[in-house]
Amino acid sequence: MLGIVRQKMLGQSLLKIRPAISVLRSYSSAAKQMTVREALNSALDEEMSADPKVFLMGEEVGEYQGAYKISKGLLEKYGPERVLDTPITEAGFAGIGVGAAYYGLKPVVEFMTFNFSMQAIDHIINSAAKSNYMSAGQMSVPIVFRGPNGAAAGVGAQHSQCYASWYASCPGLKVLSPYSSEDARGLLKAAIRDPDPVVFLENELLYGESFPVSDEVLDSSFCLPIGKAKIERKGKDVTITAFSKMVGYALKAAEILEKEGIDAEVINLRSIRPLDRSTINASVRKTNRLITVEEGFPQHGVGAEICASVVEESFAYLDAPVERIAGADVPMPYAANLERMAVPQVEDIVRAAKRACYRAVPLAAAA
Amino acid sequence: MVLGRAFEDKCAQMYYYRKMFGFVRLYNGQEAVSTGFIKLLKQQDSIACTYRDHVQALSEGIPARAILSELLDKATSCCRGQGGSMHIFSREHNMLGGFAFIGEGIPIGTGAAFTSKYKREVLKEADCDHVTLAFFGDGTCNNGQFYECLNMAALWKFPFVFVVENNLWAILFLRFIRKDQLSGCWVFMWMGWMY
Repeated sequence: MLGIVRQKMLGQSLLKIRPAISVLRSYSSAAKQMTVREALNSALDEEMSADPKVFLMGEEVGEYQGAYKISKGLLEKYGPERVLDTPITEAGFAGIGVGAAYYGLKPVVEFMTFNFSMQAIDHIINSAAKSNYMSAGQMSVPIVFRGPNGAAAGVGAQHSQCYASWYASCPGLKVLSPYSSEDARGLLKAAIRDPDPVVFLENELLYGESFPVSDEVLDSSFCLPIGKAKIERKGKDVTITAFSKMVGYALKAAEILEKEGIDAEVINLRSIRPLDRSTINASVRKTNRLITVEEGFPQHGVGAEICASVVEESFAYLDAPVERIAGADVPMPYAANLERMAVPQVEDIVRAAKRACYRAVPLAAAA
Repeated sequence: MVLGRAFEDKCAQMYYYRKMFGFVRLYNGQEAVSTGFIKLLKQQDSIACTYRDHVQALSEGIPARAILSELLDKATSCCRGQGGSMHIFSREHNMLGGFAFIGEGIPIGTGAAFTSKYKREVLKEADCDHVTLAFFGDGTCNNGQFYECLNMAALWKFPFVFVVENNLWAILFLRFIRKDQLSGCWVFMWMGWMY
């Protein structure tokens, strides 16, 4: 009897250790914990320090230390010529950023949320994205548009939209969406160094979340390649693609699925444009099943593009219809219970994965 | 000026002969404005315009052959046929385009003026005194971006000139200066003085 109790305790403690194993593995190099906010702040700080042409512009970025404190301490360190508090004129200051980028400066334009980028979308698309092509390569636009994207908590329909698919459909733009602190640091640095316009979609609810970071990530020359997805969790039964906050949900779903005998592979897209089609397709060719997860509206979304890519390149490998999980096709409601229903939850991902593995009642019968 | 007029007349002729198509906006009658301004600029100064940009491009020194080739879809033109009539760009001549949305060029030009100030004050290039001009029409003065940039250029003191070419047209709407509209006219002129 004592042996069984000991076995149970050992089993439980093993289960407790497993989720934290990434911390244990890097324990020897003393892994630090870093919030996404700190990651973005340190990336901005290091890039501004390394290159005097980099400057930050946006509402509340200076004296208020940033609407979400991402630019904390930067005004003090670099002065008001390089950290500019703008009036509430998105179209104006986005255009000023593009004009400055034409002349080789490297603006980082902050939108308080990407919902406000719609005031400036003419400059993001028509001046920034298309100029290199229209000028036959004469005008390069090394600008970064960054800010929180997607739903927050109870901010209503006009403050909650995800713009990943809108910007990702435009040639001439690069669109990045980090999940962890490592992603935030590496991708923001890559975006600032990139000679093309980059739309950098953060997430307000991730700013305060802490992730372990290795010494390599903390190095000031750390950079992640644009256009490369990361396999957060290897698996063999079903592929789940996600970006930004949904990566965390997909990982939680994968843990639940594991208990039911489904080994899910979770891909963190990191780069929405260019999309890492080869990593996604290689994964689908291995698992034969695909679920795409995103927070934004379903029609013409990121998932639609991934599904099309897989159907075009890996159709013969699919054992089940591809499924896309997206936000509800409705402007984001305000009430907390309605908001919860309008955004994908972990249970939705679990149900879809089981459907793809033919482990539950099929969609048609459920409807 | 004469070259500008001859060029635009030739464009009209090519258009009617169906050698040129799509959007082509001509500058006949307005040549004096941009020619006069641009003559006073230095090589490093820059300009931004609306879609009515042929003559500004000529005044900046872009060869007429390069611009006409662009309008006739030649790969040997200034933008390899990728920009067209409305999007004449030249890095060499500091011509920042050519923008379809009126008012779009104003923030771009303001950004170029910002760069001039930034280079002087932050990058310590003491001899940088580049000026930027934005050319646009009276119709553009209805656009929000015009006022946004007036505010920011004054706030941050940019070396920037807003050139309003009052040709009395706003796209296809002709504004007659009648007695009953005089008050509107004065308001506009007063705002011009204000800024």
